[in-house]
Amino acid sequence: MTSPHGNSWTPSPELLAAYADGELDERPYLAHRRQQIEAWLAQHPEAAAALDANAELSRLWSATTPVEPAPATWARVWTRIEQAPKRVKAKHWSARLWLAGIAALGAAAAVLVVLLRDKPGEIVPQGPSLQVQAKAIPKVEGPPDGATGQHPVSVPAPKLNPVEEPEVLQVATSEEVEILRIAGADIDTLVVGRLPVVGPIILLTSQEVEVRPPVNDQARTEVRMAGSSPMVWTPLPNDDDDL
Amino acid sequence: MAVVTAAAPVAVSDDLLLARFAEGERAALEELFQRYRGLAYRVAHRLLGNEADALDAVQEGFIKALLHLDGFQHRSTFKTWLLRVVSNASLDLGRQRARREAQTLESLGHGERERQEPVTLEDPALGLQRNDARKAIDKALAQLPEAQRETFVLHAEAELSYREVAETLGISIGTVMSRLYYARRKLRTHLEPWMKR
Repeated sequence: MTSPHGNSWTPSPELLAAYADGELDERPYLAHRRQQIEAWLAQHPEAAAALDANAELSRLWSATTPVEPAPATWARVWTRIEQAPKRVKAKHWSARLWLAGIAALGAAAAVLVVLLRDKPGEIVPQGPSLQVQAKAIPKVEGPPDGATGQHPVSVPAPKLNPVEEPEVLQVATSEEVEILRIAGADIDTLVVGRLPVVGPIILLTSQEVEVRPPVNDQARTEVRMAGSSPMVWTPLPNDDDDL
Repeated sequence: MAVVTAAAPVAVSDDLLLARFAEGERAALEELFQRYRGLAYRVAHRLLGNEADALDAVQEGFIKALLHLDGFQHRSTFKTWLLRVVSNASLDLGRQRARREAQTLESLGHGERERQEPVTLEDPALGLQRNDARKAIDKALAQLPEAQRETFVLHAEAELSYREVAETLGISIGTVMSRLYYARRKLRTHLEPWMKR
């Protein structure tokens, strides 16, 4: 479009279409522009062909308006719309349950990581590993060594009566575990569905644990399980941790 | 004889219906559905080309609107907001359908390249010519870029003003004008055989 003030002014095709669509009618501040276009059209009757073609397109468009569905069809659609929010609400509740479940799994994974950590010769899982931080792992201490202040103490693991309900050794709760990252994970989706495990995963019982302090490190306590069970290695709480 | 003229019932505003729905009145939502279902359906039908998909899009659009009513800021009218949701749902459905069709064609091989005609449930009295014109328009629309198609349908079918289309799509009026211009030019080219009848 050139200057609207000179004789060479030509409305753009877009502006002409807006004029034909009545877009300039309802705005008083565009009255001047409308008059300009009308004056231009009077001098350029050939331009009316483009507007006629648009009008013909509108006519064809109107002649092919989709036929509205029957009332019974609308009734079915409405029923489905009405039922949908209930389903979604259920989904939201399910998602909350899942978050709780994931937290529980995180706690279980923390236990697993702690159990497998620093154990020479242990088979390392090949899948994505879950890195967690246990915030307040319970302290397990052994008696001090006579000469050095420390010595290994073995507590023989009692025989487990298979009939008795085993006592659960809780290493950490879901609130005490923070998931830092899932190393090697190649998916960014949240798995939904029924939890494979509900409730705590019992990895070992107190009867299967042997407690002994490490030789050179008072700040750490080593917990050995009977037989070929994995080792628990945990740092003791330190004041520096709060810094 | 005295002539008594009954005043036309004043339509309850959308905002009032929304407020009633927020207070738990389900009938208010149904009123909104009845008010806009036809418009939403026509827009969806134009974007998708058949009744079954259009109904799915309307259903999906209303459900999404219902679930996200708290996100409706009243900066636009409920009508334009709903049309945006339905329009987006239609385009999503269209993309899913295109992917399905592409997979089907791939599995069928090259022998059945011709696209299956959409299912239409319409009045036979409308005549073959009108039916053919509708198919021609559907085909021409399908060849437009998505943005132009959506803009043109909202203007031509929903009869939204340029300002309303701009508001619905979150674009400038200048962009609306430009899209409409190119959409019309392409449609006129594709529909030339029908334009002179």
